[in-house]
Amino acid sequence: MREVSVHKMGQAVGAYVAKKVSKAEQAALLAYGAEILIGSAIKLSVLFSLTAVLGVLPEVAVLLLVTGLLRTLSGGAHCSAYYRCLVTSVFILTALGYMIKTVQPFTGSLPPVVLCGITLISIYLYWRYAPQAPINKPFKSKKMELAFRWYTLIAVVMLSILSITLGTDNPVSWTMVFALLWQAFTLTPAGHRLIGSLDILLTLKQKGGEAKC
Amino acid sequence: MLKFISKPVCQGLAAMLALIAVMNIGTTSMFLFYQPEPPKKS
Repeated sequence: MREVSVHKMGQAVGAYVAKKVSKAEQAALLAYGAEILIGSAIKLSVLFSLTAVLGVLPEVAVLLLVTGLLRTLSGGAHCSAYYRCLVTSVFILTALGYMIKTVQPFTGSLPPVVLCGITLISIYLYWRYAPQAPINKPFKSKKMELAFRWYTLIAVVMLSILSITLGTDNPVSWTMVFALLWQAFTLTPAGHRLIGSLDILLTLKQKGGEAKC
Repeated sequence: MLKFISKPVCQGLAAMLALIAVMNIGTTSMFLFYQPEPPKKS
């Protein structure tokens, strides 16, 4: 049976579109764009369907927006294949969303100093570990790395200020703070080990076709 | 069915895919824990 993968679907779409617009030289670029588009669409569909069923869609939507934005700027731990990324991130985001919803009655009564403390820990972790480029997409220069470092820190400070302004009784502020902390954790050696362990657990059939990174 | 997909639609799709690719070549992909291999420069 022919193996179906997001990589192969992306290649097929890229080749087809390149042929249709008579730009065969752009086939690889279009295939790369198609792989990211298809992969993200499948992942978001699975994630939102599952979280809607579990009743944690608003929490996971905020988590996804904050971690997605910061992940683009700061990088972080990665999985070695698409389906492992799908299972790992759906599991982690759903579990975090469920946990945030469950502890909401408790966190709503906490003093603002706790919220400030968590944001300060997050800011320190970003200061210490960001940015981290994927192995297959290294920074082209020191200047670019420094720019991403500052973009990350500015985004983290802005989101921290926003969450503190919203206050401890607002569930969105706690969701944002947990998203900041989770994304910061994926930058640390412990975060890399955790994602690495989940990646190995899901290695049912280690095979080529999808790039190692 | 493919006959009905006209060239302008493909051109729009090509522009969108190229934009997504260019935006993701130098940075971490926003929604993916897995980072696809970027195209090699020819």
